[in-house]
Amino acid sequence: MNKRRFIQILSTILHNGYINSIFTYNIYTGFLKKFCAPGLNCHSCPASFFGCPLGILQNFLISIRILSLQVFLGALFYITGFFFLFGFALGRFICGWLCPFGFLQDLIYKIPFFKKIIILPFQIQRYFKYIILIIFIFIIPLFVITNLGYGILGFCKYLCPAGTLEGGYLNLLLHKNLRTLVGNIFYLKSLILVSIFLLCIIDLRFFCKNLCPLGLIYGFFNRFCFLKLSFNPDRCTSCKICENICPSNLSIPDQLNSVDCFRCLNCMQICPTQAINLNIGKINELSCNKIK
Amino acid sequence: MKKLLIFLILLFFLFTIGIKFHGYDFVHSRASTICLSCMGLGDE
Repeated sequence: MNKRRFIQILSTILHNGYINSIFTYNIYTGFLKKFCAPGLNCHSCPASFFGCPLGILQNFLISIRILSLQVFLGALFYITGFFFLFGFALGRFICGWLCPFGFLQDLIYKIPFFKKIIILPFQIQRYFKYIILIIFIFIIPLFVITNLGYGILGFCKYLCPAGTLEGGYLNLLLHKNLRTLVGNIFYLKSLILVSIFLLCIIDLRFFCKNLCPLGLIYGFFNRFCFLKLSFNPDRCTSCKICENICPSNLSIPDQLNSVDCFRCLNCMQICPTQAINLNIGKINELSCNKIK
Repeated sequence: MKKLLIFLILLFFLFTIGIKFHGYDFVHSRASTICLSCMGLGDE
């Protein structure tokens, strides 16, 4: 087992280690739920130890109108703190190495089938996640208001495949009385989940690359975070083997630290001359940003 | 080193205010509730 796979398994266990839920039928409500986990991992999952950063962010936005000033400030700074902590420290290394849903996609991709990087005209598939972030994470929770004065959890309610799988199906297994609530939205989310899984069989990490708003938020930190990739032009032989293996179809070295790189580190590992390196906590003089 | 210092100051600032105003209680209350929306259950 390689190092990345080991860390992914460990992270998945840390995200979802509450096996007691099998016996109690309840989700974990202890001390650790005061913290957010870095990966996309539904906090309604019976086994989840931590809050989902995207779910918590939306919960904050839907209730922004009815919070007292103290709770508003506390939640705003606390939640922002987690995004900055994860973003600046790791960026999209979280996607490649820690996210349980990313790990699941890696496993799904192992199913033997036709493999291809899905590229739509003008690469518009790369912009889907921006639309999802703006509309489903910010606009719907902030501006679509229910009778109770709350907004709607746009991404969680209508799209999130991790919520459907971990929160939806696992809770339906444990709680028979919840099955009466299954309706059109659940069928819609199930359809989205199955579609994403099918696309992930063909295209490695289709969801992470094109749809995940959490990955996009972490991606904004890719250029500034402590863990960065750097490129040494003196060592590069322009063999392009790194570009050929890149699952995000990025142009290397120009897009080495772009928003779309989810840090699988395949390029670094396959480079025969070690022209691509991982830098921790320093800005390398030879980074791709400088040689452009 | 300067980058690390800015990072730590920023985090200290955010978490200090967040904890002072009990931001963790908000996270705990929301993350400890089974969320029907997250599960996709219940139509409107």
